[in-house]
Amino acid sequence: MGENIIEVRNVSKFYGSVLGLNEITVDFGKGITGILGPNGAGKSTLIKIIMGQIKPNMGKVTVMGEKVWNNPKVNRMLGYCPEQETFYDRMSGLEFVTYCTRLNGYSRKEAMKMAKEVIATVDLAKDMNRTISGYSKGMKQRIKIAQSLVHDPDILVMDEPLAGTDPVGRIQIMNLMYKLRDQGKHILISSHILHEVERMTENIVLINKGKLLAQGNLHEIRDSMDRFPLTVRVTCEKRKKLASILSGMENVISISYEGGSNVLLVRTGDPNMFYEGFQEIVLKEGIRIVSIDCPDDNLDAIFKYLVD
Amino acid sequence: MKKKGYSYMEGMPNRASAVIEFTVRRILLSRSTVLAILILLIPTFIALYIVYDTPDDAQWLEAFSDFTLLFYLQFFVILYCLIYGSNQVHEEVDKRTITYLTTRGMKRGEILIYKYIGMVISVYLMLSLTIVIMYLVLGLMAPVTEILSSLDVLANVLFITFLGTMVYGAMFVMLGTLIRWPLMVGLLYTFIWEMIGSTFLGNIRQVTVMYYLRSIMYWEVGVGEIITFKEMLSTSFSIFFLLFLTGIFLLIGLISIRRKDLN
Repeated sequence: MGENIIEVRNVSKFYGSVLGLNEITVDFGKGITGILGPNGAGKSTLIKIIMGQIKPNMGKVTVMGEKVWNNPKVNRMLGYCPEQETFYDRMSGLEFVTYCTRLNGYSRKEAMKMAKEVIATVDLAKDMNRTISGYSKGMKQRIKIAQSLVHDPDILVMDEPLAGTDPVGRIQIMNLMYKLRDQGKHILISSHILHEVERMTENIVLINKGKLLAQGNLHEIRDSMDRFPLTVRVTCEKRKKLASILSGMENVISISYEGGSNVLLVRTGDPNMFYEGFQEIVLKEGIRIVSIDCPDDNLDAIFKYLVD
Repeated sequence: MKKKGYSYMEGMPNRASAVIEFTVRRILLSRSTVLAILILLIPTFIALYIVYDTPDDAQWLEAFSDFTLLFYLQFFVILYCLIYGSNQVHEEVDKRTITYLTTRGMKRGEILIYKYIGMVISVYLMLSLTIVIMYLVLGLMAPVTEILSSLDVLANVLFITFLGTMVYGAMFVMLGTLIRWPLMVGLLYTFIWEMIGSTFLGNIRQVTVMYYLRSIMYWEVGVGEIITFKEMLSTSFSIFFLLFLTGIFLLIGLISIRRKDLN
């Protein structure tokens, strides 16, 4: 087995006549990987296929080289935090996590001990004896995460784990993800909120309408999109002079000023060519550049471009 | 990959006890259980009224046998198995809690079998408890020696009730994995096929589960001849056939749950 933790090959899934996934082939490597796409893109379908909950109509999925369908060995390697907020009525947080742990084959005593430990990890120890129906949305999210972690799986699959959490809860969950990553866990996180994932990882899989749009490192994806217009923000002296010279470059689409500062916003159709030419011009003209950055080089911009 | 926790086989007893215990607690500790038990006690009250209205020492055992056949075997066993059996997998799918079962290192077939066992235990506990109550209440009018000497009748009734719970339970658990509206289909099956079919139709009654249960009841408890049974099957054949049916129902359920999308 190579570097891939999960391999998805030509997977399609139909719901009656509706196509949920359309011949998706994607690899998930080590560390944190974000599965991104708008609502209804097929993220949850892909995750449920990886978890062995639903069977693809075509294609194959393997986790650590093992087939996933009805394979307990794979399930024991995986921890799953589902998107839906469903729990058993009248169960406390502790009872719920203990029950889930027992389903992994642990005795009642062991399960109870493990459940208490993991509940403390997600900072719910004080509330573990309360019924889940009385929990806030963020607490419910954390108890779901607890049940996914309790059997110490190597791979965590989190379907919208940050949904419904407040800013503090969000940071707590993100910090937990970093901690788990540092412990050597491999984590798949789905989200439709792009900046959340961007803060956690640069490894992304973009899905829309059941199709794979892109996968890999965020910046590599960005670089591979030659025709994707990029905005470059240049803070410099002599901005009018620089603007006038840059306007003559073939790959520059537009130039604008940002506020009353010395900032130029240059929109280019070919970032690589632009950077080469820009360097030459700056050196030749002796224009001092204070800073240069790309506000477009983020997930939101890439995603918007790919989806549109 | 380093080994964590128990192997699949080592963890099986713990998984089984978790699901069975959970199922039993959910059925027996639900708010509707008190009502379910009160309904099961209705035949006891009716029998009491009839027996005490016309006191006769010899009547109580006959009343007990007749009432267990009429109410329990022909009605409550089927109805309770239908309500609790068809719901087992279906409710978890409906409420989407099945996710917690299917993603934890347990084969899908295990889920079905453990839930089935939990359901049979719970339903049988409710049925047998109220049958014993009926036996004791009706026996109050007879000498203690007679109550004790007739315990074999009670044992046979309890055994037949267990067989009925087992086979109908398997049938309705299977139905719960196969179709979207198991309760509706189950009700149609119960009232049209089992109740009417087993009583009035000619040889078709041999295709009902009830026929085999009534055969055992006829030979072992001595009731049921009032309905025109020309050829009663032997007890051993009937038991064998009911066990065979249970196996077939569970097998179909296992195949169905193994292939189904559960999320």
